[in-house]
Amino acid sequence: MSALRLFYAFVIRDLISSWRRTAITVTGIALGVCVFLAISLANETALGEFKETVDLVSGKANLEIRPSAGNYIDQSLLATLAPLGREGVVYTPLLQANAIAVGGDNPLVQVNGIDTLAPAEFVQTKTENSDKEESSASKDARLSTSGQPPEKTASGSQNGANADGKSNTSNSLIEFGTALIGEKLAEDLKLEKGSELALSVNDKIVKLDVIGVLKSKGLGKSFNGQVVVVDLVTAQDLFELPGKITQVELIVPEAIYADVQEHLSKNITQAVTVDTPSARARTVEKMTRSFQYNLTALAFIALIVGMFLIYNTMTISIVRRREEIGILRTLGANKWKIATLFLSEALFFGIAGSLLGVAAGVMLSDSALTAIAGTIEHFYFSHPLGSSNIDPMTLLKAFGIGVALTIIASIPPIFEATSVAPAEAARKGSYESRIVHSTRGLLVAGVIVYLLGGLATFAKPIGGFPFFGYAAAFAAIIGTAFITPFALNLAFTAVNKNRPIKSLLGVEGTISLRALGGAPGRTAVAVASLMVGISMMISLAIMISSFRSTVVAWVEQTLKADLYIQSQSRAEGNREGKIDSKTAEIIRDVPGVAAVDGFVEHRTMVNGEPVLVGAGDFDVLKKYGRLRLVNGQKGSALIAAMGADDCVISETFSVRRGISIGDIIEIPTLHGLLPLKVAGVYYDYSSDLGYIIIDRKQYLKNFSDTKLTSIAVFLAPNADAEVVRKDCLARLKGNSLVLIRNNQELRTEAMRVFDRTFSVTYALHTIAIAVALLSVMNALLALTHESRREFAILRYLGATRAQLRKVVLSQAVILGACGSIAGICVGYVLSLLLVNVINRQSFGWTIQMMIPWDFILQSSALVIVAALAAGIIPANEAGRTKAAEFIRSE
Amino acid sequence: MAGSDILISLDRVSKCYKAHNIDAVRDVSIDIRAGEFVAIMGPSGCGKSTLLNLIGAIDRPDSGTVVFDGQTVNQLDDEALTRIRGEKIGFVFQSFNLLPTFSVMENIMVPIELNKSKVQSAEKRAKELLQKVGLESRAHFFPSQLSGGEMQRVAIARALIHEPRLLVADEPTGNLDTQNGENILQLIKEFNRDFKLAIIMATHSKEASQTADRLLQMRDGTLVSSESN
Repeated sequence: MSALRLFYAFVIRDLISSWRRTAITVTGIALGVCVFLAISLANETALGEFKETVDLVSGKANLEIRPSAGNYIDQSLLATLAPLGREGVVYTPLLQANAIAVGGDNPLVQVNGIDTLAPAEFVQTKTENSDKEESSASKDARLSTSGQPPEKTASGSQNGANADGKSNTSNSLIEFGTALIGEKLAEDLKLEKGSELALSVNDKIVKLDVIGVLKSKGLGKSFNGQVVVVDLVTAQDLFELPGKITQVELIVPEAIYADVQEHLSKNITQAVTVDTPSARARTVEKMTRSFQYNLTALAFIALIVGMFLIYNTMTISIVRRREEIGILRTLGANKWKIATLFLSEALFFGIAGSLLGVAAGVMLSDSALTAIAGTIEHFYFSHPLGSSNIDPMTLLKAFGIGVALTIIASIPPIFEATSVAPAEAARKGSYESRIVHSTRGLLVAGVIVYLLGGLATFAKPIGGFPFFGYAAAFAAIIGTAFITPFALNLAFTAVNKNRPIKSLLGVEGTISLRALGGAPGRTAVAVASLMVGISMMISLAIMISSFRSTVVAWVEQTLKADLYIQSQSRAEGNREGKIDSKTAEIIRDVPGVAAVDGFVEHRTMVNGEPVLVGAGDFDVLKKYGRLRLVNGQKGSALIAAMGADDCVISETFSVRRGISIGDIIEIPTLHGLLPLKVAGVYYDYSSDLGYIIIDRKQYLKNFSDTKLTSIAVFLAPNADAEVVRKDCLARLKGNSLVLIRNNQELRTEAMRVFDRTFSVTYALHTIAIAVALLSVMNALLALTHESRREFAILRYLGATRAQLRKVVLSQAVILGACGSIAGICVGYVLSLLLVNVINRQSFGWTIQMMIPWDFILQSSALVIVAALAAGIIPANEAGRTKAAEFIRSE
Repeated sequence: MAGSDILISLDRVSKCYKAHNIDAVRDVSIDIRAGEFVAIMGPSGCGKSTLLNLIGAIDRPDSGTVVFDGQTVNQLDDEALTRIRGEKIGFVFQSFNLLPTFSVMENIMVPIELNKSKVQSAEKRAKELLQKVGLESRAHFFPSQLSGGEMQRVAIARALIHEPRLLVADEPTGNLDTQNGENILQLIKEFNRDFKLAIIMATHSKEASQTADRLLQMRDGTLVSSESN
């Protein structure tokens, strides 16, 4: 018989005849691959879109000058660059900031203030009708120009000439107060050439005349098409940043690249970083690393549970066909031939499941992206995330992982199939008797794996990723899986000896229990796979619940101001939206206001890693501050004792960077590096990047940004918060567009953000449970199939069809209950690892453990009900047992 | 022979397995009296087991009538057939068919527990039956710890725990050596005599068939002879 014929006869026919098992296994693998792929695509899209925007905006630029202190550079810096023009360097200034489009569905837009006089190298975009008309608006929007410092023209643009003497080809493409807008933005807002665009910029509403719609390529494609292009001066005017820019893009010939870098570092006196544009993307990558790694790790859960399903399926396949294996071995098939046959079966499952999973993953990727977009935009970077980018390499990777894990999970049963002698293989029940004999060995292996996992918890993270923490979690899962046969044996024996429990179970329950106990291998795998899914659910529930209660307590203790003010733009999703500092002055004079604390923050780099520098009014904090310090000291007392060059840092920053009280850290400022002594470490759960908090006076001395991110308002005793809020809004009307929340509203908002962050986690572990339930159904089908003889005997002995169904349903409930109990125990261990090792190493947060008993009880009951549901098909199959046919075939 | 003595009556019963296109039983008519011991002989595939299934209310005929204890079986649904088996019929098989994960005592008690009968009085009876089959010391053993002969004794005790009126035995000595086979036949005969238990036994063994009161010969699904021993 040729290999192909043998494959068809041995593998394909069996896959078809056992179509339920085939369908369950393929679905399980597909679910695992689907979740992994959807999350991978969402992660990659989020980062990819940011990178794409960087690339589209910087174009051919190979060097970028950006502020290292604060958010802006003074455009006088361009004078320093003038000599470079003669060396063939072209460059362009850019002011890039976010705003909110009034009336849009996806309101966040990126405003690019460009120098409209751009040489060809910086041409990035074309408007929709540029191929047909030659109006000024239809010509290319250019990202810059000159070898000379910009010189303000009547229209607000800058003029100059390239070093090679060629003059720029156009000017005044975009006049002051006019804008080109992205195609997507135009569609969202139903705008066209001649329309008026209203933007919420910081705490103001500004209007621009739309002079054209950019094609969806080049700059017009950046920021997912939600882009507004204005000339530099317009942008400076919009954002009230006269003379400021956010970056300079340079195209430097390769031959003089090093010299230019040297020139820049020697001659630029402002606090800037000179690096490639892609360095910005690397920074964002660093910021989101922990979030994305942990999300990917969560997505892996369904794949791991899927591995148990595959292990189960292959074990069933091999156990069911041991006689055939024995016959084939007797007829001369060697071990490799047998292994190849089963490997080809596993390969079929892997390929079919992974292909389905890839297709489903692509379909689900947009939902996954939506689920994580809010978290990314809130905590890491602002970028509209539309739909997922489907990278063929990612699809291939997910497919490869699906197939590889299927093969890996199949190896132990295949090894088992090939390691037995032909005579033993043909003997019924030999697999289970091997399991019975190896339970003690597996127990020892489980204990060793647990100990190794325990040791792994002491290891440090690698590159900020808690690799060993996850290894410990994996060890807990594998260790428990090894211990499961022994534990089940112990439990079943105890129950069998207990008459009250036996009478409670009834004859059907006792028969199920005995059948499960008689097939310890299969039962253990089904329980273990359910245990994995449930333990993940329980551990995440404990972690999230603990985290939530910790944050609730922190919010209650920390947020003590009566009113909180932020710009309308920030309230609508623009994390860069700020408030004019004059607003704080106006609020301070409102009757009933006792004190006002203006807070400002910006992201900076300390020792190559991103961190937030924040500043508050220490004079106010001395009296009203409620910082919760890690060492238990009173926050206001610490603030009162702090010197001008002292700072307090958040716990995340302290833990992740290994910085303690008394250490000196240096932050980049306009005047160079500012050494700060760490006076205290405080609990903070608002960002995993970490905070360095300094006094506002110190901030104003060192950074040019006078605007505020938010304002906390403390009221006088007996002042009515609602009255003061109305008064504030009335006084700010026409000056500053802000959102004022009272204390309770802010707390509610904080918890809404928290819950949104973890919504994707719930979805992921629900899918893992679904895969585990498929494993239970698979095990029940196998048990039912193998119990046909017993069922037939029972029918002869007077069992009704309903009783047989009850036997299988009892097995489902027993498996569900065992899986739940094991899952809760392991889930608790995993939650300890998540809270104290993985979270600590990834984000640096201290979380107080809180066990959500109500959730655990409800979900366990739900799992048992779901297991019962999974048992319906096998139960019906059992009910259809034809006793006469069985006896005849005997 | 008084009509009221008839426990089972088969009238022109036929059974065809359509999937395999086999006429397993053709036009068989037979009466079995209460307390009668009937043996059926015939070559493999002649329809003995099918006939036993029809008599034992496991299967329904395609045509003809089966009357068990005054009740026409053909018309009964699965529940009713199960009830008849659970209350009035016991089975013994060639390969014993004990539940491997149940102890001897538990195996014997299964029919009682399935039929929700009175467990306490049944336990007493189970012990008596164990004593009768000579296995009282093996009550807590598992099937894997017993010899073939012992397993068949347990199977007989299990078949009789609910005090059936009919024992259906399909090749009960087929898997046993001569000595054990004789012992089992002796035991069956004792139960037949002591409890007025009707027995219908399929067998290949001429010696076994001589234990019965009457011997039926089957060939190709039909009854070819009926003679008293």
